[in-house]
Amino acid sequence: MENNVNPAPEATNAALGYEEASKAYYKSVHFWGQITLLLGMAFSTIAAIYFGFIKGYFPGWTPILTAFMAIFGVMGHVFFDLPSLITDVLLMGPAAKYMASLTGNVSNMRLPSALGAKAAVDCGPAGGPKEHVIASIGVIASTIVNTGFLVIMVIAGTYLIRLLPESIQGILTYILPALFGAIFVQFALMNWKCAVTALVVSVLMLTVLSSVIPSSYQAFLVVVSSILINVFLALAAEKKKKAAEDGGEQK
Amino acid sequence: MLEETMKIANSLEMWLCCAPLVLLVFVQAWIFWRLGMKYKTEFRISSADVSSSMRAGIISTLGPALSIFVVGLGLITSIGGPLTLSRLSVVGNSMYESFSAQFAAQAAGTALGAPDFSPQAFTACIFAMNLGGIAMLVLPLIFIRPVSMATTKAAQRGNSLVLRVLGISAALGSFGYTSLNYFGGSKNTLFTELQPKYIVSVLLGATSMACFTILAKKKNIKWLREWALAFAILIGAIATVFVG
Repeated sequence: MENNVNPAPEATNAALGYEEASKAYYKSVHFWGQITLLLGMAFSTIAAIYFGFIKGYFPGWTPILTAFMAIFGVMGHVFFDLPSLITDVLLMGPAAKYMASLTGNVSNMRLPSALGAKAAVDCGPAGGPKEHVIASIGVIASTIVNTGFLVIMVIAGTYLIRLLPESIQGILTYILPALFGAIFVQFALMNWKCAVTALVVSVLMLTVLSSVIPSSYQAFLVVVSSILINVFLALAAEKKKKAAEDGGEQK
Repeated sequence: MLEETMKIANSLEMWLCCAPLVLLVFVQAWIFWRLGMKYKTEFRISSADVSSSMRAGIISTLGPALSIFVVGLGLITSIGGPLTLSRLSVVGNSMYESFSAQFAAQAAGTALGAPDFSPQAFTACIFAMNLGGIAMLVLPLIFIRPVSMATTKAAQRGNSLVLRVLGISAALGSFGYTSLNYFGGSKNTLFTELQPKYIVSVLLGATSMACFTILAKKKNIKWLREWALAFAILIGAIATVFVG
């Protein structure tokens, strides 16, 4: 099946150039990404069909639709959250985003693990395949740890909760904020000017603009405006530097 | 009736119905792992790169994974092990799964863990939770491909300075906003309803990360650089105990 996607067999891959390799890589990523998401949808129906229609416990469509509408009311914006999808693809690349979509917990686990991985390694050109593979490795590790934990949890059951004292459960809530702060610093140390811009934009968004802009667009807009401002500043600085060098040469 | 329902919820059949979804998560991870490794040489990814990105991925997941663990234990007692495992393994998050189960039980005229929580109500939970999950997959299924192609094309055309700044700014914008948002309890405000515990964990996580990273760089301590993230998270989280 894999040969249909990528006609080049493994043996010739070593001879592939960077360009062809990245083309082939992205092609396979989208192919398998979409297949696995479709399978995810299909597998989601198994339990419902078996218990609803084969075992005959079907509760009727009314409660199901009522519940779904209630879920839709609370979570519906997530179903159409294109801004987050764009931000995620920008931050972690397609392979990691396909995995993140299937396994969920994007903002609390997949994004931090992808960015943590990216910050730990020299990723070559930004937005290039190396960066995306590194991010996907971070997400793979995170998925295995997370799902592994869940399997242990379900097997060991309620016995385990008694082992965790109340105070430790309280601490767990604050792990994520510390993680976000730490990862921010990790990137800030690479370029503190960009960090200042991002902080200023975030503060503006959370204070002055907070009531004007819908909350689901805020993070996306912070990302986009940080990018625009920083790119503009970087280009301006480069131009100035070049001008100064040219001036120096002329003298 | 509750007892009968929970028997169904933890039955072998239920396990078999839920297993494919959980297995799919591992299979997908394996597929993308193989894809990445296949082009390792072309993309100049060393084995040191692989192990440090893997370590970073694990370290940043441990904490949140543990807290899902705690929510999950609550769900197991109300909808059984297999459904909890399969729903928490895919799509969404533990909060979403908790209240969609509750909504479904209510729509069926009962509540989670109530004495009249019937097999029908349980089946309503299965339907509602999975329908929501399917709905969340529609957007990624359609849009990851075009969005990613557009960004890749832009990446190939742009100059390297712009791209480096772009990548860093995207990460800083996203994490800066989320970190500051914690100050007010993630209600999209700042300076109102300040939450001291959250502020302490964000700020201490950030400053200890800065200290460890700078120290590691100056003294050239390799292990400290790799463990800096883990230490920073622990310091930030544990310090909240001392905040009233």
